[in-house]
Amino acid sequence: MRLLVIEDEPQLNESLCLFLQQQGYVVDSAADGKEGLYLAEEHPYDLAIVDLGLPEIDGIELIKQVRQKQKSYPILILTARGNWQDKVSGLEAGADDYLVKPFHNEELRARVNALIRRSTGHASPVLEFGPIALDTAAKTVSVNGQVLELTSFEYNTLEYLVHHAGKVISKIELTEHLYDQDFDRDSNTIEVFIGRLRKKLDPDGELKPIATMRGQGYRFTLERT
Amino acid sequence: MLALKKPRRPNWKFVKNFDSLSGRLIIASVLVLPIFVLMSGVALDRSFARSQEVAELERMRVQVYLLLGAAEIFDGQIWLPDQLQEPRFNQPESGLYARVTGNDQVLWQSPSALMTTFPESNASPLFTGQEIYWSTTVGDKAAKALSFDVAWDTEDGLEKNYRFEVYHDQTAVTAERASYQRQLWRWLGSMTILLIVIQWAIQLWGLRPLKGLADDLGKLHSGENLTLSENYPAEIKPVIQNLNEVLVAEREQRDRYRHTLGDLAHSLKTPLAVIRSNLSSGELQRSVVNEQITRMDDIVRHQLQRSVSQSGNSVKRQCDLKPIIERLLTALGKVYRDKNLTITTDLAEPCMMAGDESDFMEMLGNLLDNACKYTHQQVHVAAYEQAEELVINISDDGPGVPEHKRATILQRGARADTAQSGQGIGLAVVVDILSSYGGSLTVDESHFGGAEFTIELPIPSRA
Repeated sequence: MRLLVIEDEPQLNESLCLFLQQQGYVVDSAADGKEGLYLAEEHPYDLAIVDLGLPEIDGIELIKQVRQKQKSYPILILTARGNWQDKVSGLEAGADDYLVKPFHNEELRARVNALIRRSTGHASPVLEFGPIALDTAAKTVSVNGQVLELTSFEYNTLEYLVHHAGKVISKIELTEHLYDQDFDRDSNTIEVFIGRLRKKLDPDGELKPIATMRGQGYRFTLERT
Repeated sequence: MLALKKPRRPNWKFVKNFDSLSGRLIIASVLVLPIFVLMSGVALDRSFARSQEVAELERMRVQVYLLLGAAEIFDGQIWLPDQLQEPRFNQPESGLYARVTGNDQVLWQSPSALMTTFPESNASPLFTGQEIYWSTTVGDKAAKALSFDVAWDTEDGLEKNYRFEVYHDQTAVTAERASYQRQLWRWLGSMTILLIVIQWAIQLWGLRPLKGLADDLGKLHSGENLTLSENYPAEIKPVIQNLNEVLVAEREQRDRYRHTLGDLAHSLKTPLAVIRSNLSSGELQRSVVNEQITRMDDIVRHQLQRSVSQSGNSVKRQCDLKPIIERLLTALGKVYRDKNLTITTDLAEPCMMAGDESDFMEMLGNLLDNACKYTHQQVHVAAYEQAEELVINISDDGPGVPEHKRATILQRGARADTAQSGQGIGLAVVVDILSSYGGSLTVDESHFGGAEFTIELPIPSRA
């Protein structure tokens, strides 16, 4: 999952990015509205966190412009003022939720998870596909009740595929959503991750949850139960 | 404080004078007074000329009558005495001349007219009792003439017509008029100047209270006085009184701010002290720090929202609460989309209330947010007018508020620093705002089985 953080206070920006990276997200950040708007329009994010009081272009204007460009990923606004006038105008501009500063990181994590889950159409945090269960809140995967040991890259790859179950996801799309811009886009890396995931999820080769579509990408094949 | 921008003015001396009240009045009187003086001068001069004329005619008539009285008829001839009663008729070139004509012939002329040539006589036919008064010249000089026609019965029973004419030189009259005019304009001119000077003095005196006001304001600024003295003329007094009211309100506001600021600073000190002691005890407990930060955040938020709700109160406008409620519900529906809430409304149209829109937004936002947060599925909002009050009813089907807790959560002025953390400041803000509008908030059980919050706001009389 790739997130965008637009926050002008450098310390908060940094700690937000750090925290989200620890949660296994790929994070781009911008320190003002102009840069933020550029990034928001250029890249396919899964969620954006926007501070309302931004230099250059203020948060509400930025959200409006992003929504005008038909970008539909969820937007979480941060506001220091906390009055309803601000919250309502942010939500009316196209944001999906708000968080009043200061906030606990746990609360941020819960909101971000909920918004991503909601945007992919999954209401419950636990997604079950036969014996495989993906808990998007705890970021764990279990098979037949046994919690798997996955690296965060492995988990992220799986979560992205699961959120887009049934659709073919190209390697390029995967790298865009899962890794930093300066990541070495060697498609072999993706293949290695997919290989490891298959082994961990389906050691006996019975379920075949991830199908390779030759020349196109990968597809999560299981249906939700 | 607003910095007022000084409007640009053309740098033109004449226009600049309009910046001063005194200047305006002086310019007005300098422009208007001469016109009045000129008009009254002309009127006086005219009426003087007129009365001169009337007097002249009257005098000449008297002369004619005297001549008529002195005239006698002998042998069909008109005869007048050698020495007339009026000495000027006897003295040559005296300026007063007379003659008698009949049948276009001069029958008699006064001794004063020996060396004088009369102008062409009026050739009009004679009518008995007819009087003609006209201007003419005798010699080279302007003169007035009066002719009077009479019919005389002679001894032999015949009737004879005669014309008596009196000529009077106007040199003296003209001189008199000129002297009058000179005097008149001299007086009027000096009166104009005097009036302008007096008016200027009156203005200085009349506008002096304004100067006093400026001094008073200066003292106010330097802190010597707290209010303006009300020792002003009746015209300025209402302004001063209003100004004083504003000053008092402003000072009270300032005191309140200072008070709030003091409260805020003090209430922040306790959590800071806890953190510091925790720090110096050697081992930092994350939970303690976290708790104190939450407490400080609550305090700051509470004061911020209070400041918003108190500052707006001075400006009251008619607001329709219906769109505010609808906007809030749309926004909250987005936030709580996961819960798939069933939100229903029953709002009077319109729900008018005088006040500040952001106050209502805060108040309703907090209540509606609570309802959406704690409800299971249903939220119902009703608004209607009842007995001079606007009633807003927010009910949900959540766990509700237990009876013994209802009084506590509504306590007014429960300061955030004394409130338990996590209890939330939303309701405290709602109660604060409501009390500033003289409204009330009650909690009950809703017909869904959850909580029901009811706001009652008195509607100010729409006078």
